[in-house]
Amino acid sequence: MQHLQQAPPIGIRMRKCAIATLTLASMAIAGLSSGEVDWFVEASGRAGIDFLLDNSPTADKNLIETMGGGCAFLDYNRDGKLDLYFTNGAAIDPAAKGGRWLDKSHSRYWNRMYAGLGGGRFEDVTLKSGAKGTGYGMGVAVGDYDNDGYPDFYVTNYGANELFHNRRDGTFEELGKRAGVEASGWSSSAAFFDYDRDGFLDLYVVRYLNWSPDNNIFCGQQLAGFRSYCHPEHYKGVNDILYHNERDGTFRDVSKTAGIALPNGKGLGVAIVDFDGDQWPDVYVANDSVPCFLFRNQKGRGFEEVGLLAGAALKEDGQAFAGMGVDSADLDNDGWPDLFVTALSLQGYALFRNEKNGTFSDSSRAAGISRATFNFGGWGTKLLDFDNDGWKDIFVANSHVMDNIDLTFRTLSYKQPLLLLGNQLGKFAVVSNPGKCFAEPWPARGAAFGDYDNDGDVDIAVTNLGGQALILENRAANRNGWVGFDLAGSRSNRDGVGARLVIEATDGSSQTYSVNPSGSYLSSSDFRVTVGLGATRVKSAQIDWPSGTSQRLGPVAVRQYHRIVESVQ
Amino acid sequence: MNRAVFRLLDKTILLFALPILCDAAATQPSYDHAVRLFQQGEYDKTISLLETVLAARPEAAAFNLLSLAYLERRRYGEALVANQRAVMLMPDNPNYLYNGSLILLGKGDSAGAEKNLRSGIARFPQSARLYEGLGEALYRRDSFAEAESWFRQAIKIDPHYGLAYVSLAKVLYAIGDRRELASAVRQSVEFEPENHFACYLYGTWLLEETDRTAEARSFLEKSLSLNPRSLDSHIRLAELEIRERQHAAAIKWYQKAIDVEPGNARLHYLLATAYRKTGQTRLAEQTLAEYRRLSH
Repeated sequence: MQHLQQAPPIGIRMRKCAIATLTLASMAIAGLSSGEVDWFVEASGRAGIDFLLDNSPTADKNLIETMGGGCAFLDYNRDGKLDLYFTNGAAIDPAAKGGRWLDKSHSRYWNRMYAGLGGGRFEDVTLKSGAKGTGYGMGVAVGDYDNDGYPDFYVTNYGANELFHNRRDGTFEELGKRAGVEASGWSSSAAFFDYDRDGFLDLYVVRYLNWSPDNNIFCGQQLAGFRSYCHPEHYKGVNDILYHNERDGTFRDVSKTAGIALPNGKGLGVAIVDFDGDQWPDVYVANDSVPCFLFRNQKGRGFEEVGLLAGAALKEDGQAFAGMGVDSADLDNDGWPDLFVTALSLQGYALFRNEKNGTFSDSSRAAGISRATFNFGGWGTKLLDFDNDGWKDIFVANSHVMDNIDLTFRTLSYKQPLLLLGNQLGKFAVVSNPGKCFAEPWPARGAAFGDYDNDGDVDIAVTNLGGQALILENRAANRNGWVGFDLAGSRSNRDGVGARLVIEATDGSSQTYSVNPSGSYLSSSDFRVTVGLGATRVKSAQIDWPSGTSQRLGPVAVRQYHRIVESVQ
Repeated sequence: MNRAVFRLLDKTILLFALPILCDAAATQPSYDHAVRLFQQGEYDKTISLLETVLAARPEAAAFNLLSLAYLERRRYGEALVANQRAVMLMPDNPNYLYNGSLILLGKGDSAGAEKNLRSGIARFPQSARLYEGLGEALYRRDSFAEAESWFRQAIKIDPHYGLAYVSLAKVLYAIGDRRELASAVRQSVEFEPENHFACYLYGTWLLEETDRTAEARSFLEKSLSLNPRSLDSHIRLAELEIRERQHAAAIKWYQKAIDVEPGNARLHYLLATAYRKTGQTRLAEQTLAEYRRLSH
């Protein structure tokens, strides 16, 4: 397989400066205060998003209380306006341990569906949609598993998971048990992807630990207020699950035969990535405090775990780290996807650069990641070009896992600021003017990404544990050129999940994207691909579909989304 | 989830004991000879000689040295007995209390060490060494805030007490206070230029926070010369070589570290990574297999 090489990026950077100058003027005209061009403004109030993630914290410090929850951008009614879904907790009754100790009946604990109305506004349609859920919610994965053109979604819980099948009338029916994907135990992130490229989305479910209220031990100091959530070392890991789509509305657990049922994982995040360029999607699992997994796809027949051999299981110091959120994208525009994994405070996040030979190098320090992230604990994350300059940046939703860490570490805090790292020629630096909400500390967890106002830049939804969700409306990017792609598979899965796009610009540079709604932490993002162009235009675009079909488009008009239907050859 | 913080492979505290073993003793020159043996790492010979000396004439300093030799041999019970004899013979020497706490820490009884040190501080409130020891005991229990406070009190009592700066630097590294770490590591090497751990910390700080790699190399090599068994110094020197794309040199550092501690899985992973980066795939796979074996 050939990979187009990226031209030296210096030209793009120089143009960016010029564009930024122009944009300062235009943004000031648009009414932003004091001429400052913040990348994001917090818009939950204007958007009508009032979701509050209620984790029901108790004195028992049940581990699940600090680990949820996620969110998803999806267009469930196919009206062209992104909708937004949030998972939520449940009331915890310690006295009812072993029995029905989780209760989601009160509306404050419902998962929430907000329908996009256009103009950046949403409406709570939870009851009408039938998607309030029944479990202590963790994550959400979106995928049109029956290829009917309407997105379905899967909710991971502590306990049985739920599959919400889209009835195409604005409502959902829960089919987890009937479809065979209920699972058990503690599931965290999940991802729909077509691992055998048969045109139907399969489902990867990450699971965390064997924790239960019955084996919840005391951790921390025997002082009032000093009890803490336990380190994962106190609990055994559990294997992840791979469900094969049987094409009849049901799934089959193929975890063992596919080789992913390893017992020693403590998974929290998952990224689907074709890291070796063989067009078969591989799976990276961010494990907490044990080596991360990299499952290499054996041409659809199963997987081989190669994390250690590929240099992506541990950091460069040979230490396991608390892998939580994860995403994959081509950060250095060399045509090959890199990996970014968040971790606990005092570890620094990990950037694994793709060496184009089936291995990775930990470039965290050299790229400026270690220093910028050392004191942060990271959860939701995505590698996207938030300012549309042609280089993918890094967003991380941060917070320490322990809500009383401030008592024992004067250098750390539970609530932490959001982090936006700008890509500067493959090195990263904290963006100086990301927006006012970046200056405040939050107990952030999940993060989903999507252009909900359809203006060509990627906006962000962030969940806050015990607090209201944030909606970060992107204001920085539409000064630069962009082009969007909305893929519709015919032989491939309907949403084109796993398709690779190579965009060649008029200046000879190229960028590589994939249709990749998974990644982040417990969350799912817009299926559309938004490509930042800086001042260039699109000379051509090549789409490599999961079916094996390649499709080449000539010059493509910019500043608009293009619906691309897979050609049948 | 405090465990995911700065972890050192080396048992640095044992070296901290060295400055306080050389009290005057009446049994010179046998005692002097025992000190030399101890400093040469001949712990069994030290024990043998001191047992003979002490059978003839009990001496606090000799019991103290004997306890430290037992400690090096991880014979904690005998070390504690010898230490208690030293304390009985010379109850007003806070250094013996400190060494007793070192023994308790060596056997993993940080709570016992803490108790010992707190009562010692009540008796000897001007002993900076005891404050530093209490900080160490608390550090071992991941009580970093308290540890830092005691290290700082030790410095306040005796601003020239170098070990307190070394310990303070260690805890600042652990809690990620990079700003204060800078001055603490400088003061560590200023007051304790021959302390291998001070040199290691300063070299590490130079490596991580500055571009002064030559200076970093110099301090890390000095640390290794002071303590040739320091795995941490080996690893840092290998990292430095990798940073300068000298992978073959890095491989040698990792191999030397494995010679020191063959059963350390992490070292095998690091070596495998270095092999992989130099294209030695077969060696990388073999070394990874060893890593997996040791990890399980």
